[in-house]
Amino acid sequence: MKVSKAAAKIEAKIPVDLGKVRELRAKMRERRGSNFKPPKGAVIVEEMPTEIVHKKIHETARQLLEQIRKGVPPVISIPQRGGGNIIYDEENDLLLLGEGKSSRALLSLATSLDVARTMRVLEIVHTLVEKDIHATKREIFYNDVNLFKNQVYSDKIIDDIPPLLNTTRDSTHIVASAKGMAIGRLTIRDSGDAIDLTKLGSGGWSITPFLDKVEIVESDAEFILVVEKDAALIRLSEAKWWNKYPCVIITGKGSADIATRSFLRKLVKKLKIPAFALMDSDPYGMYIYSVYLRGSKRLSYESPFLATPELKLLGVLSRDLDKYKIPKECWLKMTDKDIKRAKEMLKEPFVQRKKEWAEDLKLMITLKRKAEIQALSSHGFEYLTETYLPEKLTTGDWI
Amino acid sequence: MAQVSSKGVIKEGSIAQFMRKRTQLVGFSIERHKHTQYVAEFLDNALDAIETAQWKYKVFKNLPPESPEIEYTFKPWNINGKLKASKISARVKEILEPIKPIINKEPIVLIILQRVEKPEILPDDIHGSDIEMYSFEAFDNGVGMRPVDLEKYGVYLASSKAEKLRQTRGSQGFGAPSAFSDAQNTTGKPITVVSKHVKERRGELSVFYTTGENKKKYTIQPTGVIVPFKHGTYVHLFYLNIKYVRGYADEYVRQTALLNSHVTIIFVDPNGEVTIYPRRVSEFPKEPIYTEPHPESTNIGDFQELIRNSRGATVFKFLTTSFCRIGATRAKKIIEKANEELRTKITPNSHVKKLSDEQINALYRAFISMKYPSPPVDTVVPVGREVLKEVIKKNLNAEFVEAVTRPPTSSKGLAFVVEAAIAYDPNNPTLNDFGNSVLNRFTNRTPKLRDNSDCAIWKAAASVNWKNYKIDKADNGLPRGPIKLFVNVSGPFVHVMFKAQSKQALAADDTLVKEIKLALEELGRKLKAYITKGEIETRKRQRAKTLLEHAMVFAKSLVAIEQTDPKLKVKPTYEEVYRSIEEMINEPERKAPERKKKARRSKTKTETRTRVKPGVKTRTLHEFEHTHEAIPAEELTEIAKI
Repeated sequence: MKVSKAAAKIEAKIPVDLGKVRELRAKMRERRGSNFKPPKGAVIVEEMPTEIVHKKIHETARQLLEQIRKGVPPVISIPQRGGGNIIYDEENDLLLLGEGKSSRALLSLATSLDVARTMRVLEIVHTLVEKDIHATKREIFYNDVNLFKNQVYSDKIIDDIPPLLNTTRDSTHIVASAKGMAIGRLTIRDSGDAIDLTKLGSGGWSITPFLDKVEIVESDAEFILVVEKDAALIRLSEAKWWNKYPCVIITGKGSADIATRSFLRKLVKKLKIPAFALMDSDPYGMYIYSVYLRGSKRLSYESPFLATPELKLLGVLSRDLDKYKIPKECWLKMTDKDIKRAKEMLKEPFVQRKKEWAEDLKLMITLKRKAEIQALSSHGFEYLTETYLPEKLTTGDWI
Repeated sequence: MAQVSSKGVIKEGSIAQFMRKRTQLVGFSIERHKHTQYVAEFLDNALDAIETAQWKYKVFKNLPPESPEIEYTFKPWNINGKLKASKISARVKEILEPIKPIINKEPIVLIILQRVEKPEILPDDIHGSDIEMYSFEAFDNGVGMRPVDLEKYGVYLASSKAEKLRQTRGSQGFGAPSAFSDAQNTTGKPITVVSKHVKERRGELSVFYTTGENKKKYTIQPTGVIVPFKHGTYVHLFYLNIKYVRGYADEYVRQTALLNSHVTIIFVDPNGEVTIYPRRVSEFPKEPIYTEPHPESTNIGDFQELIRNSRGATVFKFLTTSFCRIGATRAKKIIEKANEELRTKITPNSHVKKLSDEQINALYRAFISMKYPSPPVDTVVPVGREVLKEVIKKNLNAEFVEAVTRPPTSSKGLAFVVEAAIAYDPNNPTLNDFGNSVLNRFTNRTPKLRDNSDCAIWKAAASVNWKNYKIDKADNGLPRGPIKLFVNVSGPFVHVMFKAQSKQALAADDTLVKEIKLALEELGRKLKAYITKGEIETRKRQRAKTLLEHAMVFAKSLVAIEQTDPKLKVKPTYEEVYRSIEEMINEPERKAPERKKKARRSKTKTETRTRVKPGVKTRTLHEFEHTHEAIPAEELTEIAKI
């Protein structure tokens, strides 16, 4: 991707070295041949435009209608969402559903209620898609409280619809509320409105839950910065840091919700630029990083669409505490819960795969100390924006 | 009863004298059960008489399956002044008038209880203002009595049934005479009997008192009369008792009718209410076969008695003819064994009446020490499983009725057979109206309404573990719930095994209790299967209901989605979809979709793959089904070989 004029201008001003970042970017854009063979019968799961989803719903309904007209008891076959039936091709970033299906028969006492509920949810989704509107899971529950009885049940069925249509949940127009925010060098179209994220004052753009309504138009950012808390964002926002360092800054304002994660992933996929995470130096911060990285454990079907495996952990690392001489007073004592969480994370395979990260976690456990991003302020309020971040980016000090 | 006489101080009292004063021993005392006892005695005798008539003389030919409709209007009898033969005859004619068309064609028992004005002066030992006088009439068109038998009728211990051990209802000849004693003792009025034997040309009428000397004193001498029936017996008497209350005598009649549905029974109670129990089966029970006593049921007293009553027989003849199951070989063995202890030997030809006491005792000891096969069991005549089931079903209208008849067996040398039936209906509240207890006991087809918990039948029923059969158990051990149990013990065994003279409870003999338990357990199993099936049916209905509910939602949503489907030319309607699904739900015996079986199938095919030609790559049928590819020819033949 060509470097825009704006970026060239900025570069000249600051003696900042984005060399390592650019190296990383080049690596990301390498086309690697993959020797991944999708198994027979596997279907690619992808986002779909509304009209296609509409068609697929009709297709499913028509099949059931044909069954009934032939006198065959109707059976809904839903691809299994777990175990070996989800295949993720990391190289090509493809999510595949295998042939494994679980059948639910209308005329079997064990599953008839599920089938009825599934059909009802399908009808609701059909309505959403037809009218091109969105609804939250809770609204869907309220649509037929007598049938669903508890939101737990309607949620369960809602999770079944995307695999049934071989698509993502966003494509089904079912959304969750979003609290994330983005700001920086990016122009998008949101529900038809053109938005320049550099011209939104200091507040930034609230990430919309209607992700299918968001179109990424253009950006000259060289990287993306994901910040855990918006407290750190205040600093960056005030300094209009993205003018110095061409980037887009995203925050989930705490735990990463689906919209934020999805948006991050979209940005990375579309712009093909590196992404860096700036979290607190504590197990919870590490956990949030891991969620952006690979998705939470629960949504295993959705995770690939919400995961950004390219996300690098920039800080605050445990080894930074010493390196950047954070005074010991600012180091907080870890609670038992913290230590437990840290130890559990060490057991995870995706942590073990990143040796440096594992070592950093071990160091954290040994130190029994944690520190927030704000601890960097001990060296001055502008330490984060002027020193810490630039140095880390220049030296390529990320995991 | 001692009386002073010139011949000595002690005079033999007669049984008659004894019993006249002690009629409560056989159930005749002033209390509510007396009504039942009268009804019971004469009803039992009536049934015996009718059965005898049929067995011996086949009087009721070509009986239709059920009796024709009967209407009976009761006419009270205003008995004024002295009883005259003409009045009695007129009365008999009057009460039989409504059933005149069938009087000789259908077996009928008619019992009329009527309250009449009581006399001014009551006997000394009867007090109370709630005492009433009742007129009791009983008629049956059974075998009737010949004049010579009529003479003895009412005499204590005179019975047609005493010696021979048969399955009959009444047995010892205490019932009728005790009734007569009570009747005349309490009211001072005589007894009327009109009877015509089937083989006699005329009937005979007499009115009499029974005496302390066990004889009769006639107020109207036995007179030949023309009667409006070909054969049968009519008895009329008065007695005193407390006021008649429903629930006892009428219950007795009702239960008797249940197990004796080969006879029509008409019962008129003191309130003038007429209840008719029509005949419901055309088959009479089989005639029980007479049998000699079995050695195991003979005690030393019986043995001595039999010797005393034998007529000049030899020991050998005595042994082989007085008892069943003793043949020539066994008789000889007994004599041999007896002789082992004796100095003066017995020979088979010794005269049995000339035996010394010592010899008799030795003979008895040898006799009792032998092992004998069980007595013949054709002496018992059960009601029969089918009849029992049918009758109870017709009478109780319960949704589930089952009956079981055990194979005949014996205990202590006496044969008996146990039958039981169970009626169950959770939806029928009137089921509980039948009888005062869950358990209805019968011996030789006569209901036993008293001394319930004393009886072996009760004890056996209480010892069954009803919970095993999905039935609640009450505190007393009997089942609790919409259930009725019927147990009938038939056979000569019954007479000897009553606990008391009132003949209401059976003694708890091990074999008897075991047999009853087995019968009830068999019924329990059948009921359990029925209840389980009912549960299955309920589940089926629940299933259909639930599935239809879900189908409604399903159909509605499906149709809503498809209304906008551009690829469907004809849009489905809700009715169409719902009906189709409804049909599928109600289809009987639909097979569940075979999911798991597919996996197994492909496994076995894989295991037998070793027979395939090497080099040919085969795939499982399972795989083919999923990909819908055409199976290449070479693979097809290989698979066919597997």
